[in-house]
Amino acid sequence: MKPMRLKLSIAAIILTGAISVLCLRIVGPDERGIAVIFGRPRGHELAPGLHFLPPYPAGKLILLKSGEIKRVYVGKMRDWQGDDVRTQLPEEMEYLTGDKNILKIKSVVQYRIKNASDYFFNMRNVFEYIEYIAEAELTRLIAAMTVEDVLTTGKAEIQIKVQAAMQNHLDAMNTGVSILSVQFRDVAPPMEVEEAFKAVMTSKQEKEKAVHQASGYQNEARHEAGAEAGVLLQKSEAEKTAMINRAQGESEYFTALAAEHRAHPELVTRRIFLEKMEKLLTRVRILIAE
Amino acid sequence: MKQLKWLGAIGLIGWILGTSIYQVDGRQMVAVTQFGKPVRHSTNPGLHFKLPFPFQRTLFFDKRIQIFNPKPMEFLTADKQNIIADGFICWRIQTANPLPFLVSMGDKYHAELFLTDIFTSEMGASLGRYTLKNFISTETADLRTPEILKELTAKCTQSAAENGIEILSVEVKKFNLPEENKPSVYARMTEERNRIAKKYRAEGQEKAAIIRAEADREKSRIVSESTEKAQVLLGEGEAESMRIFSAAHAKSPVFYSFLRTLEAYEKFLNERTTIVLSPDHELLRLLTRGK
Repeated sequence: MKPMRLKLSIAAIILTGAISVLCLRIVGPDERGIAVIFGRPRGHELAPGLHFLPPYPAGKLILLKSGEIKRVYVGKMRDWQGDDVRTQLPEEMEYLTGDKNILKIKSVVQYRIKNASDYFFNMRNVFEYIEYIAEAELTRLIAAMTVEDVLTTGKAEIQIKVQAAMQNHLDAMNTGVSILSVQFRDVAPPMEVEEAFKAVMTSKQEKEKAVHQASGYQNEARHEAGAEAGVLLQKSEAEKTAMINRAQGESEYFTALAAEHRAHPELVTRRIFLEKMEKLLTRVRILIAE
Repeated sequence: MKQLKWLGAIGLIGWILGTSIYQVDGRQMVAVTQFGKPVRHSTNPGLHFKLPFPFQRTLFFDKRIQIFNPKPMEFLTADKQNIIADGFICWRIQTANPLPFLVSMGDKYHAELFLTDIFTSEMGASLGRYTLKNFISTETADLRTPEILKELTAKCTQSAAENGIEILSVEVKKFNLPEENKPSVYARMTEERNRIAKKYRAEGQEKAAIIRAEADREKSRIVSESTEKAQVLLGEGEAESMRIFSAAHAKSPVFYSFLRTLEAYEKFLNERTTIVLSPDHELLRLLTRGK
């Protein structure tokens, strides 16, 4: 072969090799890829693995971590369009309740990308939208509830409702996002009224304690009364039995004596009479006269 | 010399190719202008062709939905309450035709200025027509936020559409009270909490008193019931004793009457009684007769 042709062949092989390497793209295990060729997105998402695309700038591979659980923190300091207004805004997010109380609430939204091309092509800043819509729904729900409800029993209900409402909005805008959960991190009244709120909790506990104590007293009283009644009844039973036994004994004695009397009437009568008289006459005054 | 010409020719061809071919990303729309005048537009992603620069130029726009969050502003409700509303607008350039946007707005910065204006005026008008309890209330019947927002969106949509902006939604992400009002709100909150605390304590006392009174009543009831039963038992005992005695005495009435009489003597004869006995009395027999 001529040296010129050899050089050309080697150059061609190297060039082909280089282009091939540039065409190789890798999609990671927790990622999904969107292939964009000359600006036009390919229909389906690319699964993890090796893929071939024309080299940049004709072919682009957009990688999105679709398996990852992402978080949005609702309630942090913000600055607006370049102006630093930190001094004006509350540090934690304040919400107005239906009964015109103020609560400070911090919450976390967990979400993941369910449709990579929707997520990428439909809305410019999905992250921001998620945070805003979370705030909007929290605001709306809390503006309809009392401060008591939000602080105590309403938390679970709010979290569920906000999640559902958010999902509706996100789906309506085709953001390709799936909300996994909305959770409160902190719900508290403002520092200025913290004492007063604590006092309500304490007073609730006091109420319970008073009722609890009274119940204890009630139980004790019942037991005492029961015991007293039991003792009384027992005593009476015993007395009744004793009475009957005594009667039994005495009547048996009488019956035996009566049998003796039937057998030897004169003798028995005399004996008893004399026994008795003996006792009686020592007591009385006796006058013997005609 | 010849080489320079070749270089020049290649350069020109490269220039022509470079500025005739352009890519439209899936997130963009493009308008092609010819000497400043818009001639066509497209939202289709892919490779496109045009006349090379300086004959035709491309202007790219983001065709995605954008979120705009104007600065929170203070408004007055119909019942003269001050409230700060923090809202946001979901909008995009009219996808059917970006040219009105290009003509009226030109770019995102101006679009946001425009949106701030209409948002502020429409929000002010809306809030001014409704009372505070239409937004914040524990009575579901009072709340009308969704319909108010719909109204707001519709009004904003109209003026925006004329300028090539499509408004998808207007939401309020926060209602806040002005800082100056907060001390009085805190005072009211504190007073309310104190009142509630008092109420709980009083309820506790009341309930406890009722339970204790009930307990006392029950106790005396149990005791009196058992006292009654005790009496009944004793009564039964006495009755049974009577029955037993009577049964035995009935069998030997004479003997019984004899014993009973003697018992009676024992009872009524005492130190103050004097018995007169004649010397022939049975008892004195041995004394007087000696046998």
